This record gives sequence, C-alpha cells and structure tokens, in this order.
Amino acid sequence: MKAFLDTSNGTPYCKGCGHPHVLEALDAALQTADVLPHRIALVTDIGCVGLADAQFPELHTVHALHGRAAALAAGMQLAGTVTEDGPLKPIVLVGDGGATIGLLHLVHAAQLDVDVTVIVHNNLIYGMTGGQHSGFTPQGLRTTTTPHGVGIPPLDLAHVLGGAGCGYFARTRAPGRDLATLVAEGIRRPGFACIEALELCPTFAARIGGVTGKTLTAMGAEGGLAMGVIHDRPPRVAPTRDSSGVAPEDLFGKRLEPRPAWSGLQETVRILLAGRAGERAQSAAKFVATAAATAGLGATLRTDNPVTQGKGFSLAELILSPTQVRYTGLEQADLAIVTAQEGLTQLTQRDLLEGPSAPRRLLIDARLDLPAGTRCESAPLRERFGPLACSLGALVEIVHQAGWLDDRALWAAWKQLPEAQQPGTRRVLEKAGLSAPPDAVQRSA
Amino acid sequence: MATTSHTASRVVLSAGNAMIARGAMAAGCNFFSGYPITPASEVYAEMMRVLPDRGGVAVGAPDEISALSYAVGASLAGARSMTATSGPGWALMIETVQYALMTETPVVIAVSQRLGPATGGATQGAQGDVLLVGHATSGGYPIPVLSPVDARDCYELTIEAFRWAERLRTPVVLLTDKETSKTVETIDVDTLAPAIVEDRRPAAADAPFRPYGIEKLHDVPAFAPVGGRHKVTTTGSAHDEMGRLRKNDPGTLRQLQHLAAKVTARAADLERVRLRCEPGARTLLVGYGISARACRQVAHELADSEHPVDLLEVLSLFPVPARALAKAAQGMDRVVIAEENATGLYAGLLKPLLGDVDVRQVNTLGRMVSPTDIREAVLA
Ligand SMILES: Cc1ncc(C[n+]2csc(CCOP(=O)(O)OP(=O)(O)O)c2C)c(N)n1
Ligand code: SF4
Repeated sequence: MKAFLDTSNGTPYCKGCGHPHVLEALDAALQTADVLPHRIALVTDIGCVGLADAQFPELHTVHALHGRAAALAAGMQLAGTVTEDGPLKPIVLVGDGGATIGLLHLVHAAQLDVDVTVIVHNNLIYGMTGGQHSGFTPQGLRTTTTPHGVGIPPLDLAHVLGGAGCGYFARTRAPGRDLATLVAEGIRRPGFACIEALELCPTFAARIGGVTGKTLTAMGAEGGLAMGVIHDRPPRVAPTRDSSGVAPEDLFGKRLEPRPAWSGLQETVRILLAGRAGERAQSAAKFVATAAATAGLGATLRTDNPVTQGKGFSLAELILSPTQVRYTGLEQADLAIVTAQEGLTQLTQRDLLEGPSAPRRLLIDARLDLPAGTRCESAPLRERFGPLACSLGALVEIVHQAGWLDDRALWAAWKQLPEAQQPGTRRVLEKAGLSAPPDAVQRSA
Repeated sequence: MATTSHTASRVVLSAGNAMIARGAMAAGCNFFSGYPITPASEVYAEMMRVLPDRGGVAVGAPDEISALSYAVGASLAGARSMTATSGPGWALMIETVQYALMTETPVVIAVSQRLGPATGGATQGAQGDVLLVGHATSGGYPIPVLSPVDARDCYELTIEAFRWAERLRTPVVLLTDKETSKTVETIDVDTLAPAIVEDRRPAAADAPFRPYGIEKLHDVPAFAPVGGRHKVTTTGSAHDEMGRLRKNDPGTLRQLQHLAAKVTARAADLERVRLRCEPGARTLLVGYGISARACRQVAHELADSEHPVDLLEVLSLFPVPARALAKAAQGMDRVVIAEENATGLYAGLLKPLLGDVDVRQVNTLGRMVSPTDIREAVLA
C-alpha cells in the first residue's frame, strides 16, 4: 500500500517527541481505509501537532485556529449534502491544549455524531508555547506555569464525551501497538470517533515535570484513566423532520393584493398600544397592519417589551400611511390606547404622556387611574372585550369608525388568521362595529 | 374601472430579519449555522425552519465561535454559507472572521446591533458596533460591510453580500440594527430586484492548482473545494501562494498585501449609496441603517421649504464610499451625519473626507435618532 506520510524532507519535531509516532499510526490506518484519498481532509489544530500538514503532501490539509479544528471539520462534513463532491472524511489532529480551549467543539461534534475522526495528541502540556499546563495535565505535575504542581484534577475526555453521546472513544499510548488499529476503526465508522494518544514531550513535560513512559502508564493504572476502547455505540440515525410547508419556489409565502379602495386614510397616523405582556397588544397591531397592507397602505410595526417576553409591559407602535412609512419611530402618537397598568407605567416612565410627546388622543381603560392632569378619555375596554381582546377591539373600533380601514380590509386580515383564531376574533370584530364577514353575508343571502 | 398603479403589485408584511433569511435563500445560501441572540434570532429560526426544505443544511451551534467555524468549514467544502449574530456574538467571532479573511473563504455574517457594551441592552437598539465590525482585523485588512436601511434593503443587500463574498472570496458583513431587523413593514415584493447569484471562480480542472495563486496583486484566486480533485492547502497562518507556512518571505508578504488589494482595488465598484437631491439644497444629510429613516422623514418634510436638503443613505459602510460622499457633499455648506451611538463613530471616519464643510453630528444613546434631532441640526 502507498504511504501518505512523507518524511523525506525531515520532520519538525524535537527528538523523542510523541507526535511523529501518531502520524505513523495514522499513515498505517489510512493505508487500510476504504476512502478515496481526495475525500479525506486533514484538519490540524495549532501547536506542534499542527506541523503535520506538510508531511501529508497528497491529502487536503486545513490548518485551523487554536482549538477550532474540530468545528471546521464538522462544518465541512455537515455541508456534504449540499456540495458537489458529497460528504468528506475529515480527520482532526489536535493537542491537549487545543482540546482544552476547543472542548465544546468536541462535545458538540460527539452530540451531532458527525462523521469526523479526532486524534487528541495528549502530551500533558502545551508544547509549542513552552510547556504550560493544560486541562489535561495530571494533578501534581510541575510545568512552566505550575512550579508547585497542578492543583486540580485533569479532564477525563472519555467521561466528558461519553456524556455527550460519543459513538466511539479509545485511549492508548503513542507509540503503541494498538494505535493504528484504533485510528483505523475511528475512520471506518460512519459517525464521530475520538482517539486519545498519551505521549511524551521530552522538551517540556519530561524536562520540567520529569514525565517518563512510566508516568503515562501510571495515568492509566493509578490515575484512573481507562485505556483501550471505552465507548463503542452504534451510529445514531438522524431524526426525520416535518416539512415547514414553505414551497421552495416561493420565498414570500402568501402575498396580499392591495385594494386602495378599502382605505380612506388621507394622512399618516401613528398609533401606540400599551398593555400587559401576554394580552395581545402586539398581535392586535399586527392584525391592523395586515388589514392596512391589504388596503394598499404603507405600514410599520415596532414593538417593545422587557427581556422576559411573557411578563411586564408590552408596547406596539403602529404607523399607517397612504405612502411608504419613512420614519418608523413615534415622536408623538396621534392615538394611544392603554389597556393595562404595566403599559401605563411604561408610558409615564418614558415621559410619553405629557409635554411634546403627549398623544393627541389618549384612550385608557376605565379601571386604570388617570394620571393627574392628563387629558384622556376612559372607556371600559377590558370589560367590553375581555383582557385578551381589549387592544384589538378598541383599535379596530377606532380605525373602522375613522374610515382608515373599511370592513373589507379588516375581514381580509381576519381571513389571514389561523382557522382556530377566526371564530373568537370574529366576535371581537363584530362587537367593534363591523358587519358580518362577506362570506357569511353571501351564505345567508 | 380605474386602477391606480400600485393595485397590480403584491405586498408582504415582514420584518427585516425574515427578509435577510429570504435574501440569503434567494442568493443560493445552502448552509446556515446559528446561535440565538436578540435582535438577530429570527434569522436563525427562519433558516432552521425553511432551509432544509430547500435542500440546504441548517444547524444550531453551541456558541458563536462554533457557528462561524461551521459556516467557514462548510464554505471550504464548497457550500454557500452564512450565520447571524449581534455585537456580543460578533466579539466571539472575530478570530474566526480573520481566519475566513486569511484563508479567502466566502461567508456572510449578519450582525444586528443592540445597545452595548457587553450584554448591554438586549432589546434596545443601537448603532454602536460599526467600528468593531469595520475594523475587526489585525493589520486593518478590509472586510466589506453592507448596511440596510429598511426591510426591502435587508433582502436586496443580503443577496449583494453573497455576491461580494463569492466574487472576492472574503467574509462580508451585513450590518443591521434592532429597529431594521425587527420592525415589521409592508414591502412591495414585485418590485424587489431580481436575485443575481454569483459563484466563486472555479479552478481549471486540467491546470496545476495553486491554492492562493494570483498574477496581479488584486486578483482573486480561483477556488477548489476541500474534497475535490485538486489538492487543497488551507491555513490561517501566514502563507505563500501554495498555502505553505512561511515567515516573512517576499511571496508571503505579497499574499498579505493581496488581501487588502483585492478589496481596495474594487472600492469604487463596491460603493452602494442612495442619493436623493433637492434643487437648491445647501445641506446634505448622511445616514445609514435606522438613522437614515429619520433623515428620510426630514428630507421629505423640508423638500418644499426654504431649507431643502439632500440625503445620502450609505448602504456600503466599508470600504467607506469616499467617492459617492465627495460627490454628494460637493457645493454643500453643511453636512449632517446621524447615527445611534454616543460619539458619532462613523462620522469620525467621514469627517476627514469632507474638507472645510460645516459638519454637524446627530448622536443618540438608548433611543432612535428622531426627525426633530435632525431638523434641529439642519436649521440651527
Ligand atoms: C487563541 C489562541 N490562544 C493562544 C495561542 C497560542 N498557542 C499556540 S500553540 C498553543 C498550545 C498548543 O498546545 P497543544 O494544543 O497541546 O499542542 P502541542 O504544541 O503540545 O502539540 C497555544 C496556546 C493561539 N495560537 N491562539
Ligand atoms: S516541544 Fe514538545 S511537543 Fe513540541 S515538538 Fe518538541 S517535544 Fe514535541
């Protein structure tokens, strides 16, 4: 079999470094793999480990950012269904440093069970930057940055990834007799696989921490790290998904055909609805905006609520205009409808009830206390329409009476509603002064 | 029966974010990865909902670094990819944005601004990330940044963003803001510009492949996907035209200069503005994103007054459209620049280009720039 590893120009590693042993095992594994070479992507992380690219001159190589190799590889692989060449076989080479900073990428790749094989070159320290401790450094080991020894336990990647549903995980030593076999198995499998190779960095781990082959053995025995194949689960089957119902050829879904005759609006009107979250002030504004759109008006709807969307105030700023709306904000409302205390408090705090921003017309629910000195009308909105429909009822009554939108426009918006909402909304619209919907009239005629 | 001109057209009621998602799909986007953040989350949700039905891939990532890394990885394999975020997520993405720039990988990133710094005000609007986005690379290498003013721009400029990303093999940012992203408005869909889909230039099948091979400094290298027949060498480290790691050799320094040249050499082509002129105007309003809409209102109101104004809506923020600005400012006594941040971040870039003209900044913090603010600056 043809070798992929080419060391004819020498290798960049220090004498005794574990990395080249992993590359030899990878080369042996690739020679037995049933994959076309150009379908393989060698994705290398930052560090001494990342110097491998140049030694595989025939494979695609992608040298990633520190820690991000597994994420790039997952993206490449996931794109397989939309790219000309189909799914790739990415093989990720990463150090214990890269596995530390990029841990979440390994976790998510395991969760996705994406067809990526990751080889973690665990030499217990950050090699390229000078022997600092990583998340994988054994407790007690002296490193450049832990002169008195590491004080916290190391990560056990098998545990971490096992908890993420990892399909295949194996740990061994490099050099090691079984390494090539384990890597080959990782590549053969159609899902995520991770092989962790414990190895030496003579330059730092050995020189500063006194790490030897015995230390690596002890990590397994006394250190409690399991060796060999630790997880071996069948690949997961992707769940089937329901269609969104959006036809590929029509990005815009249902379009409205504007009928300017359905509106008598002459000038821009700015409407402010202020209520309580969950009481459908914003849906009421959306309903009227839809009616406005069917009547050929320009409409904008700007909403505001606290970060928790189900509690507190709910504001909707609706602008209707015979032309396209230029400015979407609301310096002064022509009409403000306040249906709940939360909304009233918001408007007071924002200074929107007095001075130059005071609405030209202010309608508030009869149960609310009128702010002292504020000019306003009050009406039993909640009592008449109920808490969930008071915004809609009050708003529709006004836009309808003013002739800004006629019955046809409002019923057209009603027809756009999901069927389950239509009967309830119909009662609200009729209470607000609309005559029966056109279809109903026809049917009874 | 009499019909007015717009009876024939058809409208939708849509927020900017949904229009960004539609623009992406119209532009042939087939890979999306996302992470939730207000005010960009609807782009993510819409792509997750619709893209798979269109044969694309949409994936939720565990953070923004993953989201962009997935998109970049997908693009390396030949997909047309995108992600969407806000300022905090953009901050996490910056290293990977530079990776996309360095590896010349097309990708579109929609960034919808909210009030910062840090977590800031999640549901409050702002235009405070304009420099963080425009100057996101070590060395100051340019990344094209487009900025929609309204929901229809969201659609058209997303398509444009994909075209630039593919043509120039670069990350492109679509910079929007809470208001433009989330405000719902009527859009006449029949008058939207037809989508033009552009592809990165493919490497010739029979010629030897140089992953970053260029003749002239500003050329864009031909693309071959990872996984295709050409052996690809890609790296975020300084490299020569073969993708080989090199330290300071002439070929490597030339590649770095090329990263800037391929954008700056096309700066004139990349300028996108909307200029509205009034006879007799002596004041120019300059706005981008949501602030341009307050300018629109004032320009309209003053059109028949004693103080008519011209309006320049800047749609391509970076490279800064210096030519269009100079042309628009010619003969003006005053230029008013409006934006929703405390100090006038973008105005700081425009001022040195404006010479002696009287520049007035309109800046707001925590609220939209209003027509009143602008009127005052015009009439003061
Ligand atoms: C974001 C980022 N942080 C830090 C670095 C600096 N850095 C380069 S290599 C490296 C450590 C590599 O250690 P490891 O992953 O264990 O690989 P090794 O060198 O041991 O093979 C670090 C921290 C970087 N390149 N990028
Ligand atoms: S520093 Fe350590 S990890 Fe890096 S090449 Fe040398 S021995 Fe290997």
